[in-house]
Amino acid sequence: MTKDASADKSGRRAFLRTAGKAIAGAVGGGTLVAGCVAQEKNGAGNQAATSFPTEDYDWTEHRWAYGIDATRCIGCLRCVEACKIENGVVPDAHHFRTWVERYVYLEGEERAHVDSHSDPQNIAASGSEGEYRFDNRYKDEKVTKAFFVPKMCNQCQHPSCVQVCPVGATFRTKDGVVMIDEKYCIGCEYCVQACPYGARFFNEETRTSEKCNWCYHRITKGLKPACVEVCPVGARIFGDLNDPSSDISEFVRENRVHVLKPETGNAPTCFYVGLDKEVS
Amino acid sequence: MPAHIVRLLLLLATFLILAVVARNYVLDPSYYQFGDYRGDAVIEEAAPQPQFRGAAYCQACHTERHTEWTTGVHRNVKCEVCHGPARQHPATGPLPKPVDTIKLCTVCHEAMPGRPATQPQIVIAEHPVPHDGALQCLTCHNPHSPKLGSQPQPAAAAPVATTTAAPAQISARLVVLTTPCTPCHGANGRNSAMSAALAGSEVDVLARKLQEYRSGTLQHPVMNAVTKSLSDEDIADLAEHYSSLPGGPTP
Repeated sequence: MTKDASADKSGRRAFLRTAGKAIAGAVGGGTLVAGCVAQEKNGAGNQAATSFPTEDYDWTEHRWAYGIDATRCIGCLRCVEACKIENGVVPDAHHFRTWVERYVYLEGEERAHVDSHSDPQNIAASGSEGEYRFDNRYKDEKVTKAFFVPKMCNQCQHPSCVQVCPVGATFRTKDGVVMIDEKYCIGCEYCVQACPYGARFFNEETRTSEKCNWCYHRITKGLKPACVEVCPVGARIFGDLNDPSSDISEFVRENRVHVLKPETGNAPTCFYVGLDKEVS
Repeated sequence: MPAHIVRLLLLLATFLILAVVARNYVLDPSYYQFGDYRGDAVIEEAAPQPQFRGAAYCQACHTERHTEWTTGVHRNVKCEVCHGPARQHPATGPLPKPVDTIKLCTVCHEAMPGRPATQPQIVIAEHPVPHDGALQCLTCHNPHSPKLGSQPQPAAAAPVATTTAAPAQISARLVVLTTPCTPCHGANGRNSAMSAALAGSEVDVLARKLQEYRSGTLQHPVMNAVTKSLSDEDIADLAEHYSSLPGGPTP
């Protein structure tokens, strides 16, 4: 890290020494970009001396991915609750980093009824906005088909949210997590609108955008994201694609996996099993 | 060089110097470290301490509970799902024991369209033991190993075969009547792992006990609840049914 930073600085000094400051500025910018590109390409080589971002964790060694087996989900919403606690998300029903959608097809109807924990009836069933459960509203209906689909940030390889951020406050890490720099975020909410999955929300308290970061503080310590940790039925799978024996490698290998909205070209790293035609 | 050009160049130079100084002053040193973002932001994201510590953390002290839990059907439901995040426990005091277990357990086990068939689910109104608030799920079920008839027993012992031995053919009426009895007493009335073995008992004794549970003379939270709605005829039939079954040691 220091190597390239110092290269940038020495380049800048060299330009300052030259007489034509305007030209130097332009060339300097070019050097800077070239430096970054070179570093991106060299990757691990440059980082070999020190591990980043922590002493025990080197982000160049991991390639995280997430699996969701919708056929297992029971809609208990423990993941939603755990995510809120783990990440200190605003404890109401309308700010959330992950959520679960319920799709219900009733007899004689072609389109599914879709709801999630933020539906008023489900809030009423849970007792408060700090607790989450699905109201059993279809128990007396003639249901032809019903299922739950957990959703969250897809940690895209070509994230549209990163592309639109005007201040470099959101970016994709080397280990495959799209995250938000709270200190640089100016709260313009372009990213919230750009995300094709609706995975981002605006936090009115901090005046910044917020989203799932796969519990980066956990995965860098050898733990699983909180939602994966608490899922009682193994519907959420997480792991390192660089490790062929990891849960996620097995999940992707053993199943025909889908991603949501592949037509956007976002290339998500959240892989699904058990999607249905109306889920996107 | 004409004066106005010199002035223009000087102005440009001033702007550039100001821009470079401002950039150095304002821009975080870690910006561009890895790309068009602040490298330190990654360090900050990785810094917080986890709230949920995982079952291995609990195991360090609660070894016995942990063993019990790993041998039961709830072994995939981690400690913190019901007890909440461990955080700095035990330094910060004990973790809560769920009080309203009817509310807690039905989050997963209430029969609901959309839940996969493999998930054990109950229709609350039809569950063998009435849920009137006085009786909680934990009255009958051990939360760490909730399958009835599977506890308590040492891990090494063979499981109690409560359902493998096919019960004799019984009338539809008796099927309904014995439904609440089976979870604890076994389909053949011979499960003594967590309740009294009924099979082969004296018919009079069974009938008297059922009447006493119904009237409340004998106190037992579950038995009082399940006998409450029985008629005299129901009691007579149940007593006769269980006394007619072959008794003997638990298979």
